[in-house]
Amino acid sequence: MAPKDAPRPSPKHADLLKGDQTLPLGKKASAFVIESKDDDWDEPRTQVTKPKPGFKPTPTRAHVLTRVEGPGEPNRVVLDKEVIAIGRALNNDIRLDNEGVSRNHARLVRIDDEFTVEDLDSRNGIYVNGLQVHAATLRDGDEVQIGDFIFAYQEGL
Amino acid sequence: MACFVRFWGVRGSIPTPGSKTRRYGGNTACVEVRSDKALLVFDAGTGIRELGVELMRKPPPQGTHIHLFLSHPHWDHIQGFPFFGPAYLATTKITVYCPEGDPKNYQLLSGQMSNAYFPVRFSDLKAQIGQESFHGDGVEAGDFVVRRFQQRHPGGSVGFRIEHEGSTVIYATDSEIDLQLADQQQAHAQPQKMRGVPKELVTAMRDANLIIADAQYTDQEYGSRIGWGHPRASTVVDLAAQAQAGQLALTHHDPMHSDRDTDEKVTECAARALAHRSKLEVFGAREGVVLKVATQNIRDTK
Repeated sequence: MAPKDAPRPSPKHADLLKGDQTLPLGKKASAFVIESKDDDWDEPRTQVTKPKPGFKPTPTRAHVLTRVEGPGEPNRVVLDKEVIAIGRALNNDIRLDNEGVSRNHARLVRIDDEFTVEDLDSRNGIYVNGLQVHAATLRDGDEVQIGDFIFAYQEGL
Repeated sequence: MACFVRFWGVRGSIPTPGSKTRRYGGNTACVEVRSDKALLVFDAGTGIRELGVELMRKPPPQGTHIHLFLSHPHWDHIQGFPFFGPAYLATTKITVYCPEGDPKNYQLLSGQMSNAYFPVRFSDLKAQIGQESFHGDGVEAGDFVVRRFQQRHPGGSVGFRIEHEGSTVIYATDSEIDLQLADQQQAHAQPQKMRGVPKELVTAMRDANLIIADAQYTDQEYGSRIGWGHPRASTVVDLAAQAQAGQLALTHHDPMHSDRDTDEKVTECAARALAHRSKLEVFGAREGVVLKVATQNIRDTK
């Protein structure tokens, strides 16, 4: 809930453009309605605001691997290390206790803030979007299969 | 021992940076093929810059010998070379392979670094850069044997058959196979039927583990691009199927194609291979993917 004195959107505040389509964005009669508790559509009462000065970098977002298929509960792993080991052995960062997974199966390596998945000569290999690879730099939405497990990769910013 | 193939540039014609091409990549042609004894590079499009960055992370003190093969010297196959970091190191040796008696590849690779185009002259590069001719159709490069074959492209281009200890990789880009079909009318009237591709290309690619091939256009696009030097992706599937190859990596993606467009092209090509009852695995070449090519892919229990 916005504070009572927060600036309010104008009834017609902005447009989103998608190809030839124009999607109006505002408080009234819009494709995307920005709601306000105040039902008074008195346009002159829209407050004047000034953007805060200074450059604001795009907020960062972590790289994430989410298990979407495989034995056990789905889980989500934030990739916050330079090297992340994956395998059946106890010493792995992501431990997959399954016969289809080698003891030291694969690793994720961060290079220039991108993650590459690498096969460590595993028995069953690794697959990215269905293709067996020795290694692959991951992109948002990629599916990585290791044994019976499938992970969805969400690229960070 | 296996050899490894890495895609550094898979885009055709012109670099296409941007969100629409982020997954497959926007760099122009460059493919690395390596063993533990030799490093071969096929084409020097903008993808070679990233390869250079990778090689410069830990340059071996004794230096690197790079065997550079160019399919032809059109821009998208040479334009990355001035930004190839190892070319600036005295410990690097680069051998550029040219057809016998035709130093055009070497001359145009170096000619793009005249002062009018680029601030550093080719002669100022510190690496030992030399040219070597193909004697006949084949040449030895480390523990590889590389053979070449002619392709149909404006100005000409060559494809390469890369052999390594019983496994074979084909690099065949900028090849308008559709102009060489036995029956072009049939290909137009009955597009689903297997096309009669040139026998010499089938022979050159026979039994390859992996074919990396120009597959720039869809069937719908090709009609207005005849003579531009690139094939229908569907025709490349027919060629790879007739050569009884194991895998086909579609590359030289059209600069107008988004990642979704490329996905659709790959899906259609995979369906075509199935319809031909071929065991060919079809996929889209993508920057940053490394494949292990071995005579036997399934390894023993570790």
